[in-house]
Amino acid sequence: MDNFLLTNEIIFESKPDAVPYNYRISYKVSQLCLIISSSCNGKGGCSLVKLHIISSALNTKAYMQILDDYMNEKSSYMLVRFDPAVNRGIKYAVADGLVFQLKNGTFRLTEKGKRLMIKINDEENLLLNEKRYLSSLGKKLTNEKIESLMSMWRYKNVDDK
Amino acid sequence: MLMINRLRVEIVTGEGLYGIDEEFEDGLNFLASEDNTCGKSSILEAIYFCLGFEQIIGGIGEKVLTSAYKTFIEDGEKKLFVLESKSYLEISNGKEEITLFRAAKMSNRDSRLVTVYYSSLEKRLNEDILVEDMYVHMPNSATNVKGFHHYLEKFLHLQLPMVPSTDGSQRKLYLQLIFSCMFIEQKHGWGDIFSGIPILGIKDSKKRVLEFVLNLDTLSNERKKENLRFEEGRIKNEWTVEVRELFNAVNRETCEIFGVPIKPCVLNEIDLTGIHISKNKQKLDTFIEELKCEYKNLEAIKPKVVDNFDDLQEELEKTELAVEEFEEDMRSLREKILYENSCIRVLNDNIEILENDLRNNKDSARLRALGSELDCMTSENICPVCQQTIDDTLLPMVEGIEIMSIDENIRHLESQKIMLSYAKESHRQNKENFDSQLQSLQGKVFSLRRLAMALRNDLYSVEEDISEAIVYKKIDLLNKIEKMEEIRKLVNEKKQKLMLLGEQWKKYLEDKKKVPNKKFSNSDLEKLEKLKSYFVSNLKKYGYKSFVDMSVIEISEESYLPVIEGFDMKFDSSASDNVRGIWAYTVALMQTSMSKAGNHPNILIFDEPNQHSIIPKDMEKFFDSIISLESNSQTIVGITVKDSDTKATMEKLPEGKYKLISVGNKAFGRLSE
Repeated sequence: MDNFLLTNEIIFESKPDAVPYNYRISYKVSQLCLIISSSCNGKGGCSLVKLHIISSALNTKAYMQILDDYMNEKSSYMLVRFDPAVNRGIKYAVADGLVFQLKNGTFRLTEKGKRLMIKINDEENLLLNEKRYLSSLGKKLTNEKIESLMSMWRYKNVDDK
Repeated sequence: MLMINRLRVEIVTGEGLYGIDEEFEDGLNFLASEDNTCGKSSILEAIYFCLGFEQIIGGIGEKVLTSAYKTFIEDGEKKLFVLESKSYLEISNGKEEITLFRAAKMSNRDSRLVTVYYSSLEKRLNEDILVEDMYVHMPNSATNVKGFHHYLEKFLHLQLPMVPSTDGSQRKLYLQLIFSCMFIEQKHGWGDIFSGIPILGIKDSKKRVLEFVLNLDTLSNERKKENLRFEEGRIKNEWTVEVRELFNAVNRETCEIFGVPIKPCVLNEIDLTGIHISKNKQKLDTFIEELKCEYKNLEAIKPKVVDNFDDLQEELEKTELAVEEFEEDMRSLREKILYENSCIRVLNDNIEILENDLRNNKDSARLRALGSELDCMTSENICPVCQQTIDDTLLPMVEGIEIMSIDENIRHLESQKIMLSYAKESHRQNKENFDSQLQSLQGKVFSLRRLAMALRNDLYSVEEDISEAIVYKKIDLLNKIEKMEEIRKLVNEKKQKLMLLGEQWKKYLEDKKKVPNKKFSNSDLEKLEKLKSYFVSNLKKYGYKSFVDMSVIEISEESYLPVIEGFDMKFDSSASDNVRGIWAYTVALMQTSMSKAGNHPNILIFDEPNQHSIIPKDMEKFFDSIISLESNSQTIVGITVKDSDTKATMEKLPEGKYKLISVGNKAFGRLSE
């Protein structure tokens, strides 16, 4: 067994893996809080599908454009990537007491979450692109729009099975 | 020298004015109280704060001050809220008096602002007193004219040296650093000699401070060396620039140059004759002669189309062949340039993505900090549900694989960016090279085409016409000669420049030789010897017992700190002896500076020197030795007189040789307006 070549010369050492910012807990949780605070009116809360739609749009400029086009009725249909990281992120947010879930399943910010928003908004350069896009999107993505989009998915992708 | 004359702290509360107003004298001053918690440190803090030295306590701005300056003070049972707190400090440099004013809490006044009144505290509000506002702890406040420390440096007649910083640039030695070896603060100061020194990005800061305080020649030597290093860099740089220009100019005309020294050296006329230029393996001069000769020959030929049809035909073919060859070269060059361009484009895209990633990662790091402020457990890598540690990632984790922390991730991305920028730069340089090659080829092809055209015209022309080809050749030759002569001129100019740089290089080498090799001058060694003898005699006086044989103690020539057989003295000392060591060293430093004309401002502040229950006799010796220092120095000692031993010690001290300021039950009492 000692006859392996170069066993003493070559040592493999595992190095830590890089994690894309998008999958950092702090980033995703803050992003979700930001979406809840700027895209939903207070009482209704924010549905999980909506979080998915906007969070996926925030990924790249191209996705932002696609959502914009759909909102402005330039295109009648869009696909959304349902990222499991959003689900995990919202779970962390709930567990950390930044967000709570209403009876109907939607999410709202807690007092602590609101305090976090104030801190984030105080720092002008923090999450600059996200803030800019969300303020342009405003509250335009209504539940009706989401409903109609979801029904489209049902029809259009029925063959995909 | 620096002398503290008077300190006045005003704390405005809803119930009226509180504070203290005390005068200090030269020699020994006690700030004594019966209880350790009643704010002697607060009073000393005001001194640090006014001088802008609060980094010695551990931070910048009013946040390092005790709550008495910021939130509330106690008066008996009552808690009074602090509305404003202001500190005045009257100091003197031996000749002039000024009063400093800095507010820890005051609306509409930045705590970084220091107001200087050019008078004593008493008279500061008189009409004819000059008042100036300055600031501390802002960028450049050590070097800027409006910076308070710049002013203080002048006021104290100190000339702070420029010293190398950790980032490789030159910075002024900070006043805070110097005073950290004289103001021994209660919380940090008693750990070790110099343990209270703030970290401000100066390389070997302890060493630099000691060199400055003792006024050692090594400091000026270091400075000289630093200047020389700078000079060396400059000459090398200019030399490379000149040589590169020379090579570029020569290469442009496809000539070669030999014998140019790439690195700076001393040159004389003979060396310069060793520099040769050659074109097509010939000396430039010969080449020019040949061109001229050719030109003359052409002149001799009558510029007519004679019966040399065959010759013309042959020449035309040759020329066209050459053109084709060159065009082939150009094509391959163009392909290379296209390739480089696409590389650069891809790299640019990647760098943009990286920059975006970097920004977002930095945002994440910031968000994590914000989360921590709100006690989010995920920001501490703890699961908020089960309290176990988790990794900072939302990706499903495989057991046993580590992930980078955000900071590591940022560093990782930054080094990627550096790598890509480097690759981009090299592609860009390649492209530039190819571009210039292409350009020179284009020029050649252009002139060959012109020749071909002229030849063709000649072939079809009437016999008696003037030969276009010959005329064109003549013009071409003239151009070439002109260019070659230009190069010759340029090379001569550059030779002169290199000569000049060579002279400077010689001077640099001579100067370098003049800098003494030995690290210490004789007077330096004397000073270090003196420091050692003061230190040892102080140790003996204060009852240092960890070694019987004091002769083994040396002052290190590396760090100027006391060592025993090359090791830090602390390792072999008991805790109380460590404190004695700090007393002895701090006092010895001032003694040495006094007797050897050093730069010590002759002021010491000790906060609670009676650490580790040192026996009263030694304490008494310590005070005695301070009293016996020459005049023109000031020492302020904050001390708790709780037990009878300390009280007895104080009573034994000779009357009239010290000033006692008793601090009552609470440091800040009611103050009359």
